Amino acid sequence: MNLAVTGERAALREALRDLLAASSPPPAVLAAMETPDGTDPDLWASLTVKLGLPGLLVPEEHGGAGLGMPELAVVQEELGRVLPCVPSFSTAVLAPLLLLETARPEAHGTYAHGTYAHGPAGERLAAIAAGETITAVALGDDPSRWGGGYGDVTASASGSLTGWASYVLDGHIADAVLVTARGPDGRTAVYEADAARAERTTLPALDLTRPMARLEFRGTPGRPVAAGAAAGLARALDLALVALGAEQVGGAQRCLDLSVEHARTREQYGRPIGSFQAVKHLCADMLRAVEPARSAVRYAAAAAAAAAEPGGADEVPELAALVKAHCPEVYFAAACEAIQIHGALGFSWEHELHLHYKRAKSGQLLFGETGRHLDALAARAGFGEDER
Amino acid sequence: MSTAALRAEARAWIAAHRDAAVPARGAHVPHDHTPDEHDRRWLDALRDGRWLCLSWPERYGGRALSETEVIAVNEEFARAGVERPRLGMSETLVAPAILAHGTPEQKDRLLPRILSGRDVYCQGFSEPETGSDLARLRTRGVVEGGTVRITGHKIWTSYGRLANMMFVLCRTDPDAPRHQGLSYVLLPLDGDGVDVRPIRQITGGHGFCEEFIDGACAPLDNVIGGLNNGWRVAMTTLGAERAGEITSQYFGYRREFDALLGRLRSQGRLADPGVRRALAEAYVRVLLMRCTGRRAADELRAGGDAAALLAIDKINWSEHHCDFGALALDAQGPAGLVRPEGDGYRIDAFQRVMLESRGRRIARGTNQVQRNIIAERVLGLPR
Ligand SMILES: Cc1cc2nc3c(=O)[nH]c(=O)nc-3n(C[C@H](O)[C@H](O)[C@H](O)COP(=O)(O)OP(=O)(O)OC[C@H]3O[C@@H](n4cnc5c(N)ncnc54)[C@H](O)[C@@H]3O)c2cc1C
Repeated sequence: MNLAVTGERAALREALRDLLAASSPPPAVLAAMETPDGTDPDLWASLTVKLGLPGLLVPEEHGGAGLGMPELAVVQEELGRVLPCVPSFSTAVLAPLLLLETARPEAHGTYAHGTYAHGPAGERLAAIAAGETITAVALGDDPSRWGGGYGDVTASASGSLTGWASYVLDGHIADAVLVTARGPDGRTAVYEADAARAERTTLPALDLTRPMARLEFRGTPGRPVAAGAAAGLARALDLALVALGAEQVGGAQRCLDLSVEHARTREQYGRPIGSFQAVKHLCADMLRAVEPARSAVRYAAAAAAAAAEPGGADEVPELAALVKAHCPEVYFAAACEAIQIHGALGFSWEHELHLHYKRAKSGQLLFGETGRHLDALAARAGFGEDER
Repeated sequence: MSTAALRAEARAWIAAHRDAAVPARGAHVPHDHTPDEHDRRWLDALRDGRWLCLSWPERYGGRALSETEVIAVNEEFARAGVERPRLGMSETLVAPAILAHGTPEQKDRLLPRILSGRDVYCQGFSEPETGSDLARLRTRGVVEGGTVRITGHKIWTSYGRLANMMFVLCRTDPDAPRHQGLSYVLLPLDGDGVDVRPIRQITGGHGFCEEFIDGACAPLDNVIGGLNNGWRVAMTTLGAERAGEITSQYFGYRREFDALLGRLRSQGRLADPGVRRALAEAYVRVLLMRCTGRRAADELRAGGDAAALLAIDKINWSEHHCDFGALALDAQGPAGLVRPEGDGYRIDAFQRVMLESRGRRIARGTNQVQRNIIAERVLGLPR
């Protein structure tokens, strides 16, 4: 376990940062998010070809890079700074995590890092790594701890899917969708479906950089990927929360960087506004919030990697709750203060700050609001009382 | 020695001396704590085992440990749940100043007296008119032959009643610009011309004092870093903060949190979802300390930059402690209204946190001044 980003991880960070700086500056994001699909296919292609982004978590034997959560956290932090319009959270994060955690051989560490996945899951992972697919995840078997509302899908014995799923990230452009559903045995199972066979409605998202769809399944054929998958789903979602937290840390850091830069250069009353204590203290408070949040994400990612080894203790459920209870709050506060420090400029559509403000809010709401995760944290730490 | 071997040595030593050990307290030793027989015996054992002044060169009785190694030792003691006391400000503030700015003669003369416990120092910086803006201090030092004769009024000196020495910042050149006419002088408190008076604090105890100094003498040899160079010396030691405790401090805050959980459970207060939510928020901050401590240690070991992490540390733990202290009483409801029975103004551990935490938000650079420092030195904002 090493929480310092050095060596290959640092190199990965630099490569991604350079690529995004060249190909996804704020005006490009602002333009792409208002296209009909809200995506930048060229950027996705170059992230795939040049950096192998979709295959980052995919084991080498399925054609991926076989990297783990610490590397994913590095990548997510960079993506969070820029908010590029690419389907990475669905295809490079949610889908591989779900496949790896629900369809893997037993008798390994708690998490699936580095192991192969069985049958259809392996084929889907290979397609992801090859850059051949945009694969969304539809939570049709609702994790009740998030308070419901994400979907309700059942699968028949023949694998035909019925029901609905909403807030499906990148669901509007996906060619394939992994659906968590109640299987014929009443237990959680994972199916793969052709996304075009579902009825899709693109949702008018508050956060245009995070497009999403609602999917209706009316006897849609599904190919079974994993059965008895409740525990695997829970693990995958915990890891996804950590990945989301990394993105939020990157976004919060961007808000701080923009604020400091503006405070240094913008002058009022004949002096830089950064010389005013009211502004200084806002910036200092952002820093003292962002750094611990980053520590939490790195710690959680390292804990996931440690628990992927046989015999490693599993701290991830508690740390994932910590990350989701905290990082979105830090990001939202940073976005709020960054707008304040920028004055009216920060209120304008042309400036990138509203992207962060909206992303921060969507991150607070997605996958369980803050209070739910505080309660989950209490339960996991042994003071949830009635939840115990 | 490798860090693993050092850890093993510490573990073995702690196991062999467990009976004599002082159990770890909360996050901080009470400000008005007076060492008792048990504390003294434990300190002697640590001294014999060479577990004090770990970063000092071996020549002066230390182990010449790096920051990373000190962190490792502190972790072992914290995990074992036993105190590893420091020699107060003598170890944390004066010794770093002597090591960085002292002459070989001063090091040979002064450091062994610190390690043996013969000299116990308090910090004489603040004055009634001078707090945050330290460079305006008024206490005068006049050189007369081989001595510096000091006159002035120092205040808020922690542990003043336990000390026999004070490191004083005084003005030795009144004509120089503010920062340039100051000297850092080690003044004996047991000689003539020093009147030490305890000050009663918010807790009812007497953790700090004030000193009326009227022509008290220190040998010129006790000026560290040379005459009129005191500001630089003072600044190095204000910087010598708690890097060594960056991972182990978590254990104390965690113990306090767990103790509060235990108390609330016995009071039946955990049934209240509002109480549990508030506790979860405090628990988040405790876990963040653990994560950040670990990360800072890893950055230091990798030779990376931990400056930002260390700079934000003091505000973050002290703000947490204020919030935690308030929560600890709120969560107990009316039970928090009453102190333990007994003479004087007795307080329990949580009431102590609620009261004492306010002081740590002010001491060692108020948290507002800390924000200025972070903004200017870490973020590069203009003064
Ligand atoms: C528990 C405790 C122990 C202490 N121990 C010692 C000791 O051992 N030795 C010693 O010398 N001193 C000690 N002190 C004193 C301590 O160093 C001072 O209290 C501290 O430096 C602040 O000075 P002050 O109290 O005079 O407040 P002031 O400096 O008068 O500050 C009052 C308020 O103004 C704010 N303020 C001041 N300047 C600025 C600025 N530039 N920007 C923004 N806000 C500002 C402060 O943040 C504070 O809120 C101790 C204090 C406490 C509470």
